[in-house]
Amino acid sequence: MRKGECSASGHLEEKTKVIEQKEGQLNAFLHLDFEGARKKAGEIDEKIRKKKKLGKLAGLVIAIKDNICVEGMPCTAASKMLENYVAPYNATVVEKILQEDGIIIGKTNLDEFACGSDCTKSAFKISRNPVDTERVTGGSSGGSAVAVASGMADLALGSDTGGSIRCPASFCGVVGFKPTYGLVSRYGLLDLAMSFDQIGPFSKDTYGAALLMEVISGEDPRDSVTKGTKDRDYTRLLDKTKKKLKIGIAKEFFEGCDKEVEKVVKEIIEKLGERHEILEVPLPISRYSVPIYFLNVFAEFSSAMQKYDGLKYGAFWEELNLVDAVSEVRDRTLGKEVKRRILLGTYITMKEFKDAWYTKTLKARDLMRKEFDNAFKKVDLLASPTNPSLPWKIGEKNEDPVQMYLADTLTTTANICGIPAGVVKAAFCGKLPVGVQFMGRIGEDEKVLAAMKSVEELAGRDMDDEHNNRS
Amino acid sequence: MIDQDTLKKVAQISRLKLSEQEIQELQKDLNTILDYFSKINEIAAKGEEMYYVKAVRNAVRKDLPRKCDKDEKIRKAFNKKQENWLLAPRSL
Repeated sequence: MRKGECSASGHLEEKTKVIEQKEGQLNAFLHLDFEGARKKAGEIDEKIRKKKKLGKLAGLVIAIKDNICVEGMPCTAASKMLENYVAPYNATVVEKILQEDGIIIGKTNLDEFACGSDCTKSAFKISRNPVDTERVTGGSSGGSAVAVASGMADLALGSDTGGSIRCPASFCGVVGFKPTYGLVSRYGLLDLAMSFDQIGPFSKDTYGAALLMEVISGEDPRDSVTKGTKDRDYTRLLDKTKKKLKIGIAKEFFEGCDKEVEKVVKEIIEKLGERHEILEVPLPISRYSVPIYFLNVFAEFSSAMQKYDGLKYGAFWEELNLVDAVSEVRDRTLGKEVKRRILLGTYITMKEFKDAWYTKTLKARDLMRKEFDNAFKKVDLLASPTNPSLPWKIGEKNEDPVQMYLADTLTTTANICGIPAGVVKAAFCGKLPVGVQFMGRIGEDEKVLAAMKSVEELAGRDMDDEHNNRS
Repeated sequence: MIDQDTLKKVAQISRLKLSEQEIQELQKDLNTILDYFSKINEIAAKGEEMYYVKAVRNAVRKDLPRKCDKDEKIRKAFNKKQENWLLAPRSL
């Protein structure tokens, strides 16, 4: 584009065509803004003509998860509660993308209020996996993963509270990255659980994720946990790939894992041994990741959801007294999983039950953080599968909430400990992609990205060949 | 175990008006979930400290008035209003 070989408008029209072809089948988007995107592309082309300096994302078409505010666009969190809500401001990450000349094409589907692991719990539509449309995309940021995997967008943003970026990245065969807690501002994100949430990128390759990280990370006075965060040049830091890293694996990561997933992930880790050192580390507390994670999340979520009362914005209220009006509107507009989580969160933090539940979960969370801190004294990174299973068929796992929660076993650990974690396609099982996950020390996001790039270099070429032969 | 009376109380505090059928279904779900999650008792006793976000430092700023140019857009989202005021149902 900088050389004048193509224009932002031309590139956008190509993406628009892909969306027109594929969106009807895949349901990645809840809102599309072709008009706004064309206007922005026109502005970028004008800059090129006038030889003005272009931003880092110039002309790239970017999709935003529908729980992140983009001024003037709906922001529904895939809930009836916010069906008619139009965001009055931009999230900090959106502001930064626009400043760097990214083109925002629309808002992507998710599980309602990001409560789910397969993107089937949206109040509006079920997203479908582009690799096999009978199967789930993973979630909750399923729409963003689909948009990138199917070529409808170059890059996308998701949010990750317990794996909501990494799970769909693995299931759809793209790169997904959850930054260190506090690295990216959450101003303008509809929160799920404030001590876990992070916004992060989706892309086709690690370079794209590093580029978007470079743009969205950094201190923001509107999100106090970002205080002290330095701006870093993640694309340049990717060259650290050449350094030998110590990568730990734990036997606990493979317990409860499907055999085929275990096999391909172990194979790629073995290949990594050519470049890096692989060590065994014990992580027994990680077996408890699901209860630790969910109990903490329920408590924070039930508190975060109190603001949805149908008064200031969102769904309507009737001529009832205040308490009844709020209860009525919440009952009518919130989905089953959201209700389960609100009720459990309220229950475990009630005076009578707090000691039996919430106090214990906070202690257990601290135990897990200490266990991971210790592991990171011996290794730079930990490697694991992303999900214990392959993407399931749409409708499976709907009956039993515990089975759904267990799908998050391997991703929740990074959010419990606040550490960075990223996923890159390791191989295919049949035609279904499998992602390998790396976790790193707090603030060492560049090492996680470097390991992901190693995988692309080591496995990438033969994997693509294999896939092309098959399909 | 969450019994029906407790669930009704929890629902009331949570500002959720649940139908009888929902109460039946949710009672079963919530107990299944808590039953599995009681696993946490196997390790919690070993924990000494309660978790808090360590990386967070105090972020203070001067408390100065700032101009907000979004007030019209914010008001537009109100469900019921009278002039510039948000209308809410009676609380008494």
